[in-house]
Amino acid sequence: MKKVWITVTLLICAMMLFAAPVKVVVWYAQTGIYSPTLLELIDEFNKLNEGKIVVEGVYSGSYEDTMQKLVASMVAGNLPHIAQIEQSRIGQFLDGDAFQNLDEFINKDPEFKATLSDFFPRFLAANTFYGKLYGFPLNTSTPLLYINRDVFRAAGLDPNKPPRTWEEVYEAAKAVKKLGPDYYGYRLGDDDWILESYAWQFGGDIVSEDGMKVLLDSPGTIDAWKFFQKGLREGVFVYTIPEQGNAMDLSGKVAMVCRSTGSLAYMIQNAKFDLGATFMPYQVKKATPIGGANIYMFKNKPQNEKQAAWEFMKFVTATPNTKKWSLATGYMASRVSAYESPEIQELFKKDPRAEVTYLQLKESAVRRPYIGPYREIFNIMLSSWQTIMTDMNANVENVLKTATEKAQKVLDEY
Amino acid sequence: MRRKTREALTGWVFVSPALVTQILFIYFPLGWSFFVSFFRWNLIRPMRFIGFDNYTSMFTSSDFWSSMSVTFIYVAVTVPVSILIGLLLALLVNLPWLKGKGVFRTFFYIPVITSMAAAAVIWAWIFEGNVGLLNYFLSWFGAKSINWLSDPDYALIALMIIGIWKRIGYNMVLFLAGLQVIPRTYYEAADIDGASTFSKFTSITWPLLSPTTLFVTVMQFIASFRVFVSVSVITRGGPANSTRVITFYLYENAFAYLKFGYAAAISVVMFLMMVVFTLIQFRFSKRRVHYA
Repeated sequence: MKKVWITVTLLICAMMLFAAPVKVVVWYAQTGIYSPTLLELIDEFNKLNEGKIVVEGVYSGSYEDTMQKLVASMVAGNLPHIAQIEQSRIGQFLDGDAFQNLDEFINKDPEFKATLSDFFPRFLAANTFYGKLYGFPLNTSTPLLYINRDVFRAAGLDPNKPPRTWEEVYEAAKAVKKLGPDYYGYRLGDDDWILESYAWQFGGDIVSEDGMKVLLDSPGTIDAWKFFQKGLREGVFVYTIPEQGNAMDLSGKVAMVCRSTGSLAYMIQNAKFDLGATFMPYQVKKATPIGGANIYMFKNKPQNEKQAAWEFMKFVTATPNTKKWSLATGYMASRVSAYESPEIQELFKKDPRAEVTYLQLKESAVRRPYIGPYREIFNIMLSSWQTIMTDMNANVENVLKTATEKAQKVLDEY
Repeated sequence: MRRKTREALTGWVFVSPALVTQILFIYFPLGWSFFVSFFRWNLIRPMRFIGFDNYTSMFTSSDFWSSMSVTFIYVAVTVPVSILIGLLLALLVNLPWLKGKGVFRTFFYIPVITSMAAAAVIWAWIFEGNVGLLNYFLSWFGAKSINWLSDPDYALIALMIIGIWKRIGYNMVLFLAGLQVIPRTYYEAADIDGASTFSKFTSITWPLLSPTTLFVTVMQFIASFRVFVSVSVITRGGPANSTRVITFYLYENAFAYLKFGYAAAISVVMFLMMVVFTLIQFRFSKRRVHYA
């Protein structure tokens, strides 16, 4: 009798083991208003897949923290299945062949494959490397030109005809400066993706497409930096370190600044002036960066867990969910059908400022540099930028030439 | 078991918790980073042995030398200034006729126990160029407003001010303890001889404080050399490399660029430097330290 009981118990245990839901760990890198929305989506997914899949969302710190934790857990053999990784921090994972090629799942999933064209093509292009799709957009954004319409009016400018080119920004800034010594036309900062845009918009570049050559000394980049240094020297622009950007932008003394479309809600809430938002300016070329982060799956996981993780990736990027995410957070919806949905169109009708980023996406958004040593190359570029921004006698050509040599060395040694 | 063996065994058992944690968290990582410094490793791809390449590229890197010099300037200013102010404050709050000593001591000590990350955020606001409190105060005296944190000439000074502010309380408490163990009788004897306050300080207080001064100097030196949080929170090495201290340079190479071998090489050099400096300080002060 006893034997029978033991056998039965063991059998039940074994059955439970087999029937136990597959666990999928997702690392996310944002808090504030973002994590509750994501966790809600995770809960919803878990309810839909009760008994089959359990997704566990784990906060992994800032973008930089997340990258550090990922490499550490790689060594420990304890990677999550999915992680939210910032656009410019994926190079070393790609080079180390750590990501799962999603085409493998897409090709086995005709139903999903049919909806692939519903993603904004530029988002998929930004996640395609060597012809393979590795990630899906999660929280994506582009930078906008924010305008203090009150200052525009006071300076005799028409806020309904905001500057489109950098030359026009400069002209408007000069008019704003006439309002007083503490008024500034445009605020400069240190943000990586904004610095990248400046170079592109003046026809320059940072790194070559194949990732082999540093192009910081290209004529366009030099023109861009000279342009901003000139504005700063004349006092019509102002430069602040990142910690002081918000204070400056909300002071009511700055006429224009480029910030993420994700800042829109924050700016509307905190600005005590008539706030406008429009396309980021250009000079030679229209080019804006796609910022934010994407989700990636890691390759070194059992197939059944990856299959479960794939289900979750599909769920999060599905039309109703990307719509929900976008409405709650202010980030962009990744699918055209979500963008065209009545809820989101309604929002645009109420506030046209929210639509600018989509128009910009369709027109000019491109992937940011992502190569392995990019963070180091960017930091070389940043400290050169800070030299130009703080020393009005610094020669842009020389500074960028030195930076290029230094960055090329980093690239060659990688 | 023989009694001696048993005693030895008991001893080892008692020290083992401390010993194990020390080995696990201090000596093993120490040895490991020395080992890693001969490799190229980004944690994603396998380690590759490259001999002394990390060291040669470090010693030929202008960034390494610039962060070394930034660190030395920081140490050379913050250590003496924080010791001097700490000593002055200790003398002040030790005055026999001063009322409310406890209150003053608490006030001066608060920065020490304040979280540096939190304090750094507040300081960043104080130093803000356009709306910051410090420039506002300076404007009372007709000073031109300074972009403390975005001007490469001033950013390091701003960080030094924060560093000194944070540490004077610690120095004060140590000096206070040092002052209180100096026997009263020396001062009474000096009074009878008609010594002035100043000569009492130079002939009694200062020499008998020397063990405290040595300790404080060594502690401050090590703490200043390892300054990190204020840099990481406020300037992140900028503007234009002007505040990229060696610890932040190490941190960036390891955790932002994933060059763990190179970062380990930096840490080995830092370690050796701290050992050498501490030895020099002890050797130098042997002749000058007087124990009461």
